[in-house]
Amino acid sequence: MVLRGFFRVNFERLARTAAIAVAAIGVAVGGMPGGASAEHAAQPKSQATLVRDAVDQFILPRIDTFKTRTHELAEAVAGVCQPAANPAALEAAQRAFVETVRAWAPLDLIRFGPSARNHRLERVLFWPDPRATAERQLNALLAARKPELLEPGALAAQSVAVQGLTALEALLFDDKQPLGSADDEAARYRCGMAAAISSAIDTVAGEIRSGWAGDDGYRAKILNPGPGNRLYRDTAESAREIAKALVTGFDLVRDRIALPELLAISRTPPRRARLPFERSDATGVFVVATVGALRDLYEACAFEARVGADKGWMTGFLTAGWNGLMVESERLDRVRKGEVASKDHLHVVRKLRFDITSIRQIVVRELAANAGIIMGFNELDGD
Amino acid sequence: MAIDRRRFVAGALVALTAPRAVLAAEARAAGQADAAIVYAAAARREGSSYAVLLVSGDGRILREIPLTARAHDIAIDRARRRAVACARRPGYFALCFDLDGRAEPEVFAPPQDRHFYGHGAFSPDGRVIYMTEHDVDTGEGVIGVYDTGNGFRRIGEFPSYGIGPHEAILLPDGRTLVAANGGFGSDPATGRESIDVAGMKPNMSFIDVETGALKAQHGLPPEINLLSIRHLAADASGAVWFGGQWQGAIEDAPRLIGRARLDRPIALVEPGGPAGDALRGYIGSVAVCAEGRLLAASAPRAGRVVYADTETGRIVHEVALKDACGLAGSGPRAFAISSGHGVVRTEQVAEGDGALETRFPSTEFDNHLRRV
Repeated sequence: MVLRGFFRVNFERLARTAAIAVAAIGVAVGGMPGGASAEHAAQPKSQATLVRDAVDQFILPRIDTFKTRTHELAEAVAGVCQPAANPAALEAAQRAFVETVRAWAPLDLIRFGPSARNHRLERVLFWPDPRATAERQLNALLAARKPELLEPGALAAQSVAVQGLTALEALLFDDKQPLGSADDEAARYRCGMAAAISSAIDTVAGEIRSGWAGDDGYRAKILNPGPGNRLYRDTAESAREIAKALVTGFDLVRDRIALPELLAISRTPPRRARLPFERSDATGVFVVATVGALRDLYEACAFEARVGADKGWMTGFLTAGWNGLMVESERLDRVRKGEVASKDHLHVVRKLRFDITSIRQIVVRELAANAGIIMGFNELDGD
Repeated sequence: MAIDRRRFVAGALVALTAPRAVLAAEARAAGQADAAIVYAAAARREGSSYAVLLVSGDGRILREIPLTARAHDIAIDRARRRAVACARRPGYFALCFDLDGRAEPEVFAPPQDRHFYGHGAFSPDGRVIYMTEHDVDTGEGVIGVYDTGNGFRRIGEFPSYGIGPHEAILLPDGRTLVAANGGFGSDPATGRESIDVAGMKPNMSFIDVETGALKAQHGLPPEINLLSIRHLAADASGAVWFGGQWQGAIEDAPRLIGRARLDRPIALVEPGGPAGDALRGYIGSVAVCAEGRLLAASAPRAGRVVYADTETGRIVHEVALKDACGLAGSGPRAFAISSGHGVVRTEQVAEGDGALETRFPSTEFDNHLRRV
């Protein structure tokens, strides 16, 4: 078959390139913990099982966790605004914020279903924001100080940029005007706005959760494809949705993290890139949680069991790639805080991009394809 | 591995030229009408290499120009038999090549604070090309004007009158440019991530290229402002059709195809035929047949192409082809369709049979197909 021949040639070349590239940048690819081993080889899943497991073992538990975290966040921020609040209350709210970021990361790649309706994705995280729209619009609201905007649900009618984590971060992590530290009218309004935003995020989390539930919820739709189902006519379409979410996650790591960072530190003179959640020092948390979620979803799909019998090299390559991703995502925060464009910094970012790109390519062209999930060139990334 | 823009652009091509006589001989050898038609398209080739291809309807690659990055559309200069392959969003190069291999290709780039969106349109005499661009600092859409006879020097610009101009076409009067302002931008720092989708206000802007003035602008009803107006084609009556891409949940997708005129607002295609959700909320390209009455719109995520009668505004026919995206009129009522699986299918819409399907090994055709 033409295609099989194409894949063989292609990936043998990729493996050679990968081996050279990895050797050149001095990363050990063997002996890392956590990789799939021959003794624990995963079994392939049918497309129906893949979809069910991805929904029940990956998506729904993480939505529950996110809802729990947003509720805790809303309570913690409300605590900061109490008249007798002390600095510990602000620290608790900041910790709750970081935990909410950690809980959102796995859901940021689920860009279908209830998250895709009513701008919910952007109402949780407004990003990219190259012109600081969230902070600009937030400052305008703070200056206008309209009391009605602090009423429950009122923010939902405002710009999405002021409703989510990006705007809340600006309020919660403002060293010049720490939330809850003053009692003048402006300070009270700022606190009220932070409480309104955290409450709005909790509301969106609740909407996402309820959107998946029930007989006519999204879980029922994606698990029961058929001719009468307007969204998924057959199991292959449901399975493709899940696989596309995984690929979307790869692309998000590339476009939100690896490329901007690489672009900035490759300039002369090198610059600092602006990545999500820098003000709260949660960039590392977000990146690590995203990469961990990608691996969890990959495992829920049992894609590692779809390596072709004639491509034994691929198993080791994937193990090394995933281990590399985990290591690089853990190291990224640390090297970013050191000398910009240092040897370590460049190494980590280049390797991150290399691994994410390599795994994406193998998933799309080999593993998903072997599971009968064909994602076309234009379908996956057209314009 | 560093991304250095100047070096990247400089290294963006290796030209493999073929004399015109060879092209003609190869096309004749196939012995049928469709085979004589040559198409241009961007493609991904073996592995992750990219190229611009000239192909024949019967499955032969007549010419290949390798690229180091992915291109999107090919603008054709019929007056001077040249073409420009436009890097896709966010794009930093465009490559002009002579269709008959008589001259070395030329590469040009947008200014530092701009990127290309993937489309361009030549003036009727081929002296200038209008490129859709993004002003990185302001986020506004721009039409960059390049002098094709002078090393593609950028000689001016005017607003696209919206955010995220994607395809722009010149109407037969040679003076009115219609820009599809998709409604959202992308930033060089974050690659292909969309900026502020919730704030989208897509429109079709009719612009006088002599003055840069806005002649007319048509938007969408607010409830469907998430429909990004992307691709355009003019029919025989002068109406400009668009194919849209829904940025919301699939279940909320409206009808995706519509048309407008200079003096008439946007009207969506008549109800009936596959709905927006059945087309997975996404039209990849649109084209009008040579006779000018039929419009084809591709839906790669649904693996379908639908045809509309431009006089009645109704969907009249559809065909299934996996990852179908590129479209070109190939005859009076005929189209060629290219797919991400390397297929080119040519068919007479009215007859519904006699379709010719050819497969190009190790080739994934990108968004657009142009008849040369």
